[in-house]
Amino acid sequence: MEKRMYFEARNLHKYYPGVHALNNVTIVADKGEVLGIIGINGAGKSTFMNALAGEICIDKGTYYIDGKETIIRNQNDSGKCRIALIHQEAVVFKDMTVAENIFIYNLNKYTKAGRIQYKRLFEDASKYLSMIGADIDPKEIVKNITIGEKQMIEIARALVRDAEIVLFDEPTSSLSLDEKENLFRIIGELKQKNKIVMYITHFIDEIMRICDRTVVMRDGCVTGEFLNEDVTTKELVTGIAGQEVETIVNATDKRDKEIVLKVENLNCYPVVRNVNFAVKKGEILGLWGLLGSGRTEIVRNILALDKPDSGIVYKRNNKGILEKISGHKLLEECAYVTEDRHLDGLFMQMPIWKNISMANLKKFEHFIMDEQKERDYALQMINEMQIKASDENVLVETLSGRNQQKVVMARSIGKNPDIFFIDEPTRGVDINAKSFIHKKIVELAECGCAIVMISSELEENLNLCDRVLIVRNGEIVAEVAKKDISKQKLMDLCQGIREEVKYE
Amino acid sequence: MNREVKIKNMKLAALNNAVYIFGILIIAVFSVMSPYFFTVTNATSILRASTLMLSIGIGMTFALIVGELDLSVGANCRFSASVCALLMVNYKWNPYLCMIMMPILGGLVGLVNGILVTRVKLNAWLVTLSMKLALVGIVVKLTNTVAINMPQEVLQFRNFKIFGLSSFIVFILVVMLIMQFVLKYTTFGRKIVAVGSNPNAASKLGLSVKNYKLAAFTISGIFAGLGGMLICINLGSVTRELGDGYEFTAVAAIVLGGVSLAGGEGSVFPKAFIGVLILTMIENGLTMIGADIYVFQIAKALIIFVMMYIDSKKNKI
Amino acid sequence: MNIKEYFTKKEKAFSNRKDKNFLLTSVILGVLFLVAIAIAKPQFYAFRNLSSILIQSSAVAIMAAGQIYVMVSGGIDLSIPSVMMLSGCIGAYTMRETENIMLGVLAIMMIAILLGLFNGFSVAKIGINPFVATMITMIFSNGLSLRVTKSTSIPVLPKFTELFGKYYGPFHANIIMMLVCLIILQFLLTKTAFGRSIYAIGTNEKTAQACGIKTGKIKIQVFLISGIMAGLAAIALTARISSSSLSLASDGTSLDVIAAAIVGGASIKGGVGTVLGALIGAFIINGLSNLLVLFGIDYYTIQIIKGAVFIFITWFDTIRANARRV
Repeated sequence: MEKRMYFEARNLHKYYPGVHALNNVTIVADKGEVLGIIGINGAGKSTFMNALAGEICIDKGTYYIDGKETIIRNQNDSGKCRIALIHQEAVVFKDMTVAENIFIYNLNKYTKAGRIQYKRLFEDASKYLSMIGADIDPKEIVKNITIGEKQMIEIARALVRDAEIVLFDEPTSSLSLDEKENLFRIIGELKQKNKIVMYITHFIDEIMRICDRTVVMRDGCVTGEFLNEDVTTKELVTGIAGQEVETIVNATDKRDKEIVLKVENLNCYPVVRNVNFAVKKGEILGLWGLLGSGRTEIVRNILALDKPDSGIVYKRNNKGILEKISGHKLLEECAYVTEDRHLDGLFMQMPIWKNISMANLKKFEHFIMDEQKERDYALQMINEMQIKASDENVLVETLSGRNQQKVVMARSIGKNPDIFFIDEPTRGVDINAKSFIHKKIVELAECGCAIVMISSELEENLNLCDRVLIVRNGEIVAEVAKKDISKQKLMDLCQGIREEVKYE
Repeated sequence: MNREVKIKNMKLAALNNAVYIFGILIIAVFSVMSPYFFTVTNATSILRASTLMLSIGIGMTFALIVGELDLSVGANCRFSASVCALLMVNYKWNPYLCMIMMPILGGLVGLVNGILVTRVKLNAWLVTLSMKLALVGIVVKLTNTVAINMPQEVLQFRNFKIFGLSSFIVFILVVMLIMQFVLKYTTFGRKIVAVGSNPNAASKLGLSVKNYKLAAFTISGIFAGLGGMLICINLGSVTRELGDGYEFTAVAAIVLGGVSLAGGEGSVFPKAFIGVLILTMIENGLTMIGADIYVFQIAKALIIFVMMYIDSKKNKI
Repeated sequence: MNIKEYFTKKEKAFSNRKDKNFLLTSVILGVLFLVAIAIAKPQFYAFRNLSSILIQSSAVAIMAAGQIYVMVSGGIDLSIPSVMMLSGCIGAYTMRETENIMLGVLAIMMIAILLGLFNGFSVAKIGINPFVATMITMIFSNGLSLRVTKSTSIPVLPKFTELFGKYYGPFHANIIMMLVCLIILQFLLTKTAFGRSIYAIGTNEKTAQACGIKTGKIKIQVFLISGIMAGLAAIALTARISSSSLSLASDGTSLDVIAAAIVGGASIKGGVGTVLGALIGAFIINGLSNLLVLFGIDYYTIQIIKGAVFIFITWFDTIRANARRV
């Protein structure tokens, strides 16, 4: 008979169309404990916290608070359970003052004869803010404060509501060093007051520093649980990124190949800073870094999807000379796979064949669109990419995650590009499809295509890349050649001391 | 707060206060073009003329702040005023009762709009445009476009004067201040601002976005009806011109004053008030110099366009 | 074999449709309604009546075609009837002053194109919400029309009416214009890369951008098309009634055009709709008005009913969109 914890979530399941977001998740925590939840994007960590906070409702499973079965279906329920969530992106009202934001739940307590007593509101806000060491003017309008300060509002809100269970969802991605230290101090105090703290992050140093126990999540499941004092960094990393599977290895030497893409002085303050790099023909270049390091923004700036402040991009033209090229033209000529296929990777309500030809309309257009040619090509791609669909008419939204990702790849491969930008090629895709996609990437490289790959999975970088650029705060801080790439080196390099950064 | 944010704030403050400069410019231009413009009589006249638009503007400010738009206010005003006027004149109902019923009827129409938008989840623009069509049709059927003249019980309010101004003018000014108080000093008002400022955040925190929007539509309707009541006192009759295009004038006015079409930002006083005042001055001035009606229409379109343009630049500062 | 294959393919495609229940129900209800009309007011089906409905709905159909383009791309254009009215009035004015039909037509098209471009730039370059941007154009056009007409009606030159407003054999000029417009626009929308891009933008603008589609440029072109359609509708309408005045476009016309587009398949959410649907939608909307007139219902009651019907159509659009989702 195991000891009952103060808080237990048992056998939680949550389904979204095509995704099993929470798969038999059981997580428990006791008073005075700081529980870390770690895992890559899409692992289900935020979904878990959103469920606890009542913002979404689980399909199956039970919660137990202090031994009693509890129902949490909405924010009222979670409020009664004294659960507070500090969101990844601060939930604040930019047109109102800091104080109003903090007390938005309890404004009634400050009204006398229907009139809000602002003086008292501001005073109390100051009190709570100084409790958490935040030097913010409570009268300030929220749109003028920094991201770190916005987060302080959420923490103050949690204190005001006297929360027993405080959930932090990736709180440090945009914090300065001082703000981070302050946050850790607050968490330490919460622990002393015997509250439960759950802390989502994928920074291993933070886990090691403040958490007592850690739960590892992957693809909606809990894949491991460790007492921090028992575990080493290496074991944690493996838990997150998966086993060191020796699958496809990209073997050829690319040193003598010619440069096909060169990026010079790319700047988009503050997310992209002075980025310079070049890619060779047939090379697979990895952009490695942690969440928020700016990798996606770098690629978007190169392709002019976001407007850069400055920077020149060169592409090798037919005559073999590096020619200046605009982002729009580059986007036309190259292939680009985005990070989130649900957001901007696919046309969900359209059939497979329309999705595949959309990035390459010119190929099928001879004054009018050659629909037959498009469909034939789609069927060919369905075959080649082993997409499981009855025919090309199947709507993409009904496909499974791995097949959707294959459709996105097929669309890009169909362009026969010289340069291929891929952002998280195997996000939300199972093991088998992963190695299939990796195989395709290597095939492309062998045919001479230069590949710029953003990936948060260590094994992808280790196995596929010829070179890896380490990105931190929008800058390229290091370059690692194939022979020097190792897990430890990559983790070390991106966890170095971070400079002070404040941005909106 | 660092230096960049301070500079940004200064630029924004400059833009926000530009409307006052524009107001002064308007006064200057019209004063030059006509000797009768810059007189006390005219000022009173402008104030009197602005009461209707002010009432509609108050209601519309609440709607805009919460992030929605009600384009049926003009038709609603005419409808509420006409129905109650008919009851008063043709069916001999108690005139005082009928006057009070105008904002109530307006509120009911607003409620219907609100339910269609928040419960049936239809697009607010399309719903309120249809409502406008239907309401005008009903009014014409009921009144045969004949003007309805107010009885003495209504007209007498014109003669009560407080501080030298007619009672209805003082009335709406007081109501305006009360509504600004509601917006700034009551929990209800603050939650409306919250919902309009960030509806996603509001629903994440458990605020009922639906209900606050419903309330805003109802308020918009109430003030449309109230405007009708004011016109009855001011002009002494309900005519077929009542309400025509008022929604666009109101939008132009409060957008000029600084209420944001995107939601969350703005105030009844001073922003909506200034906007309404300036627009009324423009209409007054144009009539005074003998310009055609169409000039005012085009001015409205231009004002909304310029304010939207400035808005888009604001985001890039 | 070819015909059999074709029908089997169509049948399979239909049974795969998620919203087939919705579609079937709509069609069945529609048929029932048509039968009810046949019983209650058989004169509705008289050839003369039907062809008169068709002719009267041609202007709305042309405008609805433009509206569909805008709606497929995810936007909306509230100004189409007002632009039509303004360009028609300016055209008539020009013709009266210059006695020249060519100049009149030129004036109509230029105004329509200019305002269409203005809408496009407001939405695509400045980033104004399409409702607000086209509302601005609508207020402006209504105001300027007031000036041009001075609240009276301006007759058009008789030769103009002969060219664009009379019968060529059995076919009315308006219908010919409508069919030509609709066929060209339908073709552009469904068969070309340009049309495909428009659907893409309406389905998911961010994905379209990531695919390299120049969304800004296409949005401007789409509003340009709706402007051109407004101009063409002006030519057709003013020629047919031989004059232009403020009655060309009322508050109801804007809703008529949107209603026709929605009934014809477009949705506020974007990404769906066909131009031929515009024709069907316009016919149905006009047919309804005609039917109500046959029942002896007066103009203003029809307006009230139209207001209610439009709310119903918006609701219908929401339900249809939900039926299409997984």
